[in-house]
Amino acid sequence: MLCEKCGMNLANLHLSQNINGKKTEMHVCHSCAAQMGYLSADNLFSTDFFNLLTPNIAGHARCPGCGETYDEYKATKRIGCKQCYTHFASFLEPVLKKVHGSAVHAGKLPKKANAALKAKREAERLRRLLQEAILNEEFEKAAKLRDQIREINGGDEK
Amino acid sequence: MTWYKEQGPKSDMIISTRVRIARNLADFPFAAKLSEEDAEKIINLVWEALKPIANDFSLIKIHKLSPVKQQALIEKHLISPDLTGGNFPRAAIINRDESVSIMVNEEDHIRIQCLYPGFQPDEAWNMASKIDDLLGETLNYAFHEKFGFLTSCPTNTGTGLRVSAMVHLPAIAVSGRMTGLLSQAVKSGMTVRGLYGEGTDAQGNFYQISNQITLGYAEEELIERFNKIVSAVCEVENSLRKQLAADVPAKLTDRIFRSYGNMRHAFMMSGKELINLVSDVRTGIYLGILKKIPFEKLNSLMVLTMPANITGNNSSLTAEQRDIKRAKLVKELIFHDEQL
Repeated sequence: MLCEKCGMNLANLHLSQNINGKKTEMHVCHSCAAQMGYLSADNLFSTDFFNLLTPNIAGHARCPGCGETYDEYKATKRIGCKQCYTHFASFLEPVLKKVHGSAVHAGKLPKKANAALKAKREAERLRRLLQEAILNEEFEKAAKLRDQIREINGGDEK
Repeated sequence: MTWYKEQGPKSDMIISTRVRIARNLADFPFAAKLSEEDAEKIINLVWEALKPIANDFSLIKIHKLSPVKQQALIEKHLISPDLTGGNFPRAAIINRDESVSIMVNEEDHIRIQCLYPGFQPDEAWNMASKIDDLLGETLNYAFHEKFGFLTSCPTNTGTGLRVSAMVHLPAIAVSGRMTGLLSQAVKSGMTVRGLYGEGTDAQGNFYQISNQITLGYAEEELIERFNKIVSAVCEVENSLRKQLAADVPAKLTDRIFRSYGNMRHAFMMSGKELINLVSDVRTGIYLGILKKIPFEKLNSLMVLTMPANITGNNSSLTAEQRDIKRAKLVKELIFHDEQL
């Protein structure tokens, strides 16, 4: 749910007032609550303090690409656009790890991927082979692999 | 190679193998946020990107088809139910022998599907990957350096690769070991579902096995893993078939002969009944009780007698008339050269 005051951030506080028997309720975000004077230093030691320790996406709760909120994603289980993956990365990464046991792609690259990304991936692959070669005491092969890695990295691989 | 017309490797156990790759375009919102205008643009972009091989393919605008024609494509497994319904622009680009179907504007912008008869995971992957490369030459894919290819649902992120096989496992089912085997497959990162996908029963002991994980491994590793697990399941089925064949219980023999009799002589047949008859007749062939009927003929039955395919252009058929037509078609396809 979004903050009822600014409409921008996730509402993580529930305010309830009782003035002369007239009840009002509001769901607001931390920064609005602070502006309204509800968050003092004392509150830092209340349970709300711990909310501040969890990844905070206050201020950019909506994906700038498609306007989706993380709550919308949770309700529909559908991601709105490619920018959501960057914007909500801190939330999506644990989801990916839970589903796949990993959050690091090891497969194909797009044909149009830039040369730097391709080189980086190739160097990673060769480094894995190098480790294997060393473990198997295939030193000649290892030396060749090291040269190949050096070449990819422009000669700065130690 | 049309999956339901030709015979593939291990066709006595595996009906078909499917590989699908999910891709999205970087410059458009994903399906949930896509406008009709953008959806039309994407269809044109994909069709344009396929130009070098377009003479082998047809572009089918799914939202312009009648519901029966849509359903007929679903029954052939060429499109998914998610591609149908409503007027939202969606398309399927299908090649002549129906082994490749590229769905546009399903859950992801692009889903490349290769469907082969029998067990051919490597072949299906190679074909799907080639088409992916061709599309990737001109299209801008949504790709993240760490997470890989980005998809609408995080269960497909990374490689976007799902490989599945439709398997027939009557001996495992008869032995009562199905539950154990299925939970083992699930532990190895596979999903096992019924004949028509998510949430459906395993009618006639037909199952779909597919990989669950799409991220953290290279595509070849995922295919290899799948290959090993499906092969292991087949070995179990094979040895149980041998045991069963050595001493077939009278009740099973009776059921097989009755099913054969119904297939040959019934005047009316429901779709569900047909699946069970095909399952029993296949089992009779495995166990050497019945003489061989080519498996691809039995596979054809399972497509051509489904409600939409049997209805064809005659949408006024009642359920009863369909059941009569189905029984007749079975006789024509399977027993055409015999005196009835």
